[in-house]
Amino acid sequence: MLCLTLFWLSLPRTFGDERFFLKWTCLIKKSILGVDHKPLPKDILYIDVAGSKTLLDVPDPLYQEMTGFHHTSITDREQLSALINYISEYGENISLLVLDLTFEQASPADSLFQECVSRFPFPLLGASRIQANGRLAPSVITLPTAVASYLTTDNNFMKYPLFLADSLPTLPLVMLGILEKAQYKKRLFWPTVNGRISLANPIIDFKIRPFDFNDSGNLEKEHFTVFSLGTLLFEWGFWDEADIRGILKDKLIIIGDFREDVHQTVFGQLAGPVVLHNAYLTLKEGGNLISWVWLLLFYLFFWWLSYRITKESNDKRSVSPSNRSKTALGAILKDSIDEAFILVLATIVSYFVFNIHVNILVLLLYLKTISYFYSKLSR
Amino acid sequence: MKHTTIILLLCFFSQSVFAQNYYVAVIQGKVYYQNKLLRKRSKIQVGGQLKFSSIDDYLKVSGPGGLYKITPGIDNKVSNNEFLIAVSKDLFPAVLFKSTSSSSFSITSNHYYHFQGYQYSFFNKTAFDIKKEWTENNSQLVLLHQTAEGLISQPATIKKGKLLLKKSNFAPLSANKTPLYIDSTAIVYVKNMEKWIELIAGKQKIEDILPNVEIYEYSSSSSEDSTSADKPAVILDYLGTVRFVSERKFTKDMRFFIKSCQPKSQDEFLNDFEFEDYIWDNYGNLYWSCLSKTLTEKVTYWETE
Repeated sequence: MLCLTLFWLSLPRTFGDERFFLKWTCLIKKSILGVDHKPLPKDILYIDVAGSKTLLDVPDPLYQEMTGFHHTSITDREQLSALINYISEYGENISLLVLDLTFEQASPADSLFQECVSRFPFPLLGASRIQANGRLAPSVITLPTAVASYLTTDNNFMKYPLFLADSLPTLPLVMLGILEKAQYKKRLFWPTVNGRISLANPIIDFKIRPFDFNDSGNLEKEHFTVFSLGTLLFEWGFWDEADIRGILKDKLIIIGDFREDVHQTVFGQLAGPVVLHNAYLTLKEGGNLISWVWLLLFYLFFWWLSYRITKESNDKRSVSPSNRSKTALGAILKDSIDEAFILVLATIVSYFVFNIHVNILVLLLYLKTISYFYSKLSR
Repeated sequence: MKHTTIILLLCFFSQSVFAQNYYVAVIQGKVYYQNKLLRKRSKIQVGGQLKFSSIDDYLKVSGPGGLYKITPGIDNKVSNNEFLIAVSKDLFPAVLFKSTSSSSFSITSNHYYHFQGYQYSFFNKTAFDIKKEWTENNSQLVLLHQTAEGLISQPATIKKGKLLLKKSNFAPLSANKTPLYIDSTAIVYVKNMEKWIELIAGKQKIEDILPNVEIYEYSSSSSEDSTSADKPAVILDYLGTVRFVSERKFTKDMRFFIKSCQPKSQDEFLNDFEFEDYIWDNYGNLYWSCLSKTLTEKVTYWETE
C-alpha cells in the first residue's frame, strides 16, 4: 500500500472527489487553526499585462504571406521594455523577476526588449511552453526560461510537476533553485531536491487564494494587489521618485496575464502567475518532500488497516459476544471507524503535519478489493 | 444623495510598513483631504484626514502599498473569515430565478433591430421579437448571407414567435462542402418566395438587390409600417460578421471577476473596473442587451451578496 500511495502521488492525475477534501482540510488548517504561511504582500509585486496588448500582422494562413488582413494580439514589448527599464533604474534588491509570458511571435520592438532583458541587473526568468509535438515552442527573445505547464485530465489544477518532457525543470522548481539556491535532479523514479526524495507531482498547497486579493475597501486588511502594467507606466509618470523606489524595493516581481490565463482550482479561478507562485511556495515549504517520519506514519496507518481487515475477517468466522459493543453509541462508533475513516485521518495528519495531501480514493478501492478477497480466501 | 460630512482618519494596514504616498485614481463626489478638495492624481499620505460630503462618496487610490477603495466606512461589512465565507457559499449558495418556460432569453427591441451592419457577438439562440405577419400567409423570415460564392438565402429559425439567432444559421457551406466566410447578413421579411428566389439568383452582393426590395424604416409617428405590395421582400436589418460566444463560459468568467472586484453596480463593474474593454477584447462586440440581461439575471453578485 505504501508503494501504491507513492506511485499514485507520483502521477499527475487526481480524482474529482478529492478536491472537496483538499479544499476543506486546507481551509480548516489555514483559516480556523491559523496555520497559513504565506509571504507578506509587501514582498510581492504582481503585474498584469492583460491590458497591454498590441496588434501584429501575421501571414494569411492559406497563402502564407502577409496580406494585411490577419492580425494577432501580443503583449506590447515596448511597454514591457519600459517596465524593465524602470525596474533596472529604480529597483533595489529584486530577488527575481518572473515573466510568465512566452515570446513566440516576432515583433518590431523585439530588439528593444532584448536589449532591456540583456542589461537587466537582477535575476530574470521567463516561461516556455511545450508544444503538442513535445518540443519547446521557440522564443524570439533570448532569456533564461523554464517550462510553465502542468498536466490535467479535467482542466482542474491540483498538481504541478517538477519536471516535464523527461527532464525539463518546471518554472516553480527553477524559481526554487534561484531564490533558495536549491539543487534539484531528475532521477529514475523520484526527483530529488537538495538531496531529499521529492514527489514528482506534488499537490499544490494554495497559500495565496482568491480571498487574499484586493478586498476593495477594507483598509485594515492586508491583501495582495495586482497592478496593471499600463496603469503603472502611466502613474509612474507623476508619482514621486521615492514612491517608485518604494514599490520596487525588496520584491519578487511576477509579470503575467491575470485575465485570460486563469485556471480552475479548488478555491475557484486563479490566474496562472498566482498558480505558479503557489507552486513555488509549496516547494519552498517542502510540501513535495518525502521524509522518513512521513513514511513511518503511513506504514503505521497501513499496518493498522491491515490488522483491522484480518481481525474483521477472523471475527466474522467466530463472532464472540465479547466483541460486540454493549451500547448503541459504541456500535455506531465501531462501525464508523472503518477503512475510509482511517484513510481520511491519515491524509489529514499528513497534510497538517507534513503539508502532503494524499489521494485516498484509490487506496480505499485497493483496500476494499484486498479485504474482499481476503475474506473469501479465509473462509 | 444624503448630504452629510464624514471624517475618516486615513489609516492603512500597511501604515507601519509603507510610509509612502497614495495617489487618487477615481473620485466619486466631493472628498477633502486635510480640508483640500481632492482631484484625480492628488497625492495623499497615510495619517491624514479625509472628509466625505456624502455616504455615497468614495475614493480609489493607488500607491506603493497597493490599490484601495476608500469609502466613509459604512458599507464595508464583509466578513473577514475565509472559512465562514466558504461555508456560507457552499451551504447557502445564492438562489437564482430560473425560468422553465424558454430555453433562451429574449431581447425586446422597438427598432428592427438596430444592428446597422456592425459586427456583433451573440450567445447561441439569442431571441428577438418579430411581427406576427412576417411568418403568416406564406411569408417567411430569411437570413441573406453575402459570401464569396454570392448571396445565400437561409430560412431563419422561428420558435415560439421569436427569431432565434443560432450558430447553425451562420454556417453556410460552399459547393464543395467547405465552410464559407460571411461578409454580412441581411435579415429579410420575404413576402413572395418565388420572386425572392428569382431576385437573388446569381447576385453577388446585397447591394445588387436593393433596388428591388424595401428597406425597413422605423416611424415613430405611426404604429403600422407601410409596405409596398409589388416588392417581394423587406430588409429589416443588417449584420456584419457574426460571432457566437459561449453564454456559460461568459457567465462563469463574469462571476469570477465580479467576485474579485466586488462592484456595487453593473455600471461600476463595466466602467470603473474597465471590464467593458475586457469584454470587447475577449468576446467581441457583445450585443448590449445580451450582456446587460446576463449580468442582471445570471451574475447577480451585487443583488445577492
